[in-house]
Amino acid sequence: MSKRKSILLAILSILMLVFAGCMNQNVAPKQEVAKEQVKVVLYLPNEAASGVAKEVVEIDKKDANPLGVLNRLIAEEVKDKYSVFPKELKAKDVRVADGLAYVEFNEAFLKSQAGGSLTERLELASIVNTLTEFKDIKEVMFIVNGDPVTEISGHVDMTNPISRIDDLIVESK
Amino acid sequence: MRTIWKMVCMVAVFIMMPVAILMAANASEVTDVRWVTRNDAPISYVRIVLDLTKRVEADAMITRDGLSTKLVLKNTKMKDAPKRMSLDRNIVKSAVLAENGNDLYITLQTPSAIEPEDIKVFQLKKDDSIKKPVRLVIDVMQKNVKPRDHYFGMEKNAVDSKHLDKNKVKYKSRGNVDIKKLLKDKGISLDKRKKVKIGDEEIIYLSDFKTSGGIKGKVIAIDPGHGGTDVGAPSQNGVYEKELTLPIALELEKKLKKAGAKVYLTRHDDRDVYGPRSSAVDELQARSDVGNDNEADIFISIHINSFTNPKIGGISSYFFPKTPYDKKLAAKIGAKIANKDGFGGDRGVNEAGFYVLKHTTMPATLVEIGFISNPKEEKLLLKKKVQEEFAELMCEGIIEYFKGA
Repeated sequence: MSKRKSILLAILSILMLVFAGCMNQNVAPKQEVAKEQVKVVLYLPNEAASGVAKEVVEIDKKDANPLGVLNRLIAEEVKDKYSVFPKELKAKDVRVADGLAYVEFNEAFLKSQAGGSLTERLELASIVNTLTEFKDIKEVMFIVNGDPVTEISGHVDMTNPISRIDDLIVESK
Repeated sequence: MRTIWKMVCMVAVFIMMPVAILMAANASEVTDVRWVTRNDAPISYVRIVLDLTKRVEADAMITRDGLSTKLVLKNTKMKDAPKRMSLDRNIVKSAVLAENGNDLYITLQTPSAIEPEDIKVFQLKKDDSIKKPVRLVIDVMQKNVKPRDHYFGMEKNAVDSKHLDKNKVKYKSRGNVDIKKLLKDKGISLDKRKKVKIGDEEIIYLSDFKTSGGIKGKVIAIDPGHGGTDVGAPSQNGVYEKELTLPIALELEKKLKKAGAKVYLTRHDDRDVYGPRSSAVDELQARSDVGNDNEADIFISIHINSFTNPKIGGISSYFFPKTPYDKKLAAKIGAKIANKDGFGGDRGVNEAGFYVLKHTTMPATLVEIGFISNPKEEKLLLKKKVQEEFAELMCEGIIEYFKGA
């Protein structure tokens, strides 16, 4: 009996250890996944308004897709006292096909902050350069309410997709 | 065509007939034509190579439907070359080579509409080391295909979104959005009047414009930015951009006319050029058309900048490099106006994809004269004297440009 008991106990304790191990494995890594951060590149207008400067930020891995990065860009940019993005701007969707990203914004996108071509160029360079950091995005077009956007304040030609604007990339803030 | 005809007349008058006959006798000959489909690029392309006995002058245009491309090789004859070739049915269906007077016409048929950026034409020098004669190369890119992820010479540092988010790279789909179709449905046409790039630093234009010989007789289009229901950028004091661009443009018109130029303005008063509350595309195309329809030699668009930070100021000029002269025009005018006293300084001669710069067929520049959002610059720009001074400086820059140096 006692021999049997001890064998049973041994089996039980081994089972408990195994279960405990399984439970640990099930819980702990999940928490790590949720916390995992990756680095992404944003382009934000510099103080002299001479261009957009590269800034590397950490973002939840689950948001490290074009839409998540774009909304992070907006969140960072509007912190600036002289933000070029329209107030209340929100990216609703980004679809990528054949190197072309179709970005759907809310209606705020149609209202320029200052109306000048500089504001317009910096806004577009900030968005397009950030999105073209994704290897599968080469060009960007904009959509609001299902319609393509062909103007912000009437300077930049938006009838064709806009590709990366390297000319406006500056060294630092 | 004006320039070409004038040049032809000049040759006839000054260099006389014997030379012209000699030139015809000295035509370049096409001795062979080869082609291949190249797959070593993100997008496949067909390369057509013509062997020539000497360098040629070439001209190229794409029909409005984009399905047919015509190259004209000036003073060129056929020798031992096929007249008609079937090529890659996915990229270029056929090529037809036909003599037309002294010139050789090459007509390419493509299965899909192509844009000027899909075709590249350039000449290669004679290379005795590899026993190659002068060659004319025509590259046509395949349309409607996804660029390859891996190919020779690809970017290395780009972020791969698939790598970043392996589990979920989902783009919510509510059906595919066809932008070009949407634009078409909205009545917005994609402009086909663009130039095809001819490599080797030779660029061929579909329209003619003069770039030298002095300002006298030159045709100049001036576009006072915004107007009518499109007020442009507002200042903190309630002044609109459209009110400042017009007086500068009117002054510039006066000065250019005095210098002997023929001047067209997109507007002479406070109005929309296309129509009240029209779309920017209609409005900006109507302005571009004033230059295009009058076969202007240059196009000048006058704007006042604006920014969220009122301290930002300065003067900049912009160009889109559709011809080798756009940058030169922007630089000549920019050099005169950029350091005007009292303004925030030179913000440079910059490349920009502004609509009127891309959709005009002649060299064009857009100048941003100061910032209406900067109270100091706004105050200066409201002064008649300052407006006149800017017009004078721009006129000087334009005179410099037409010196052709």
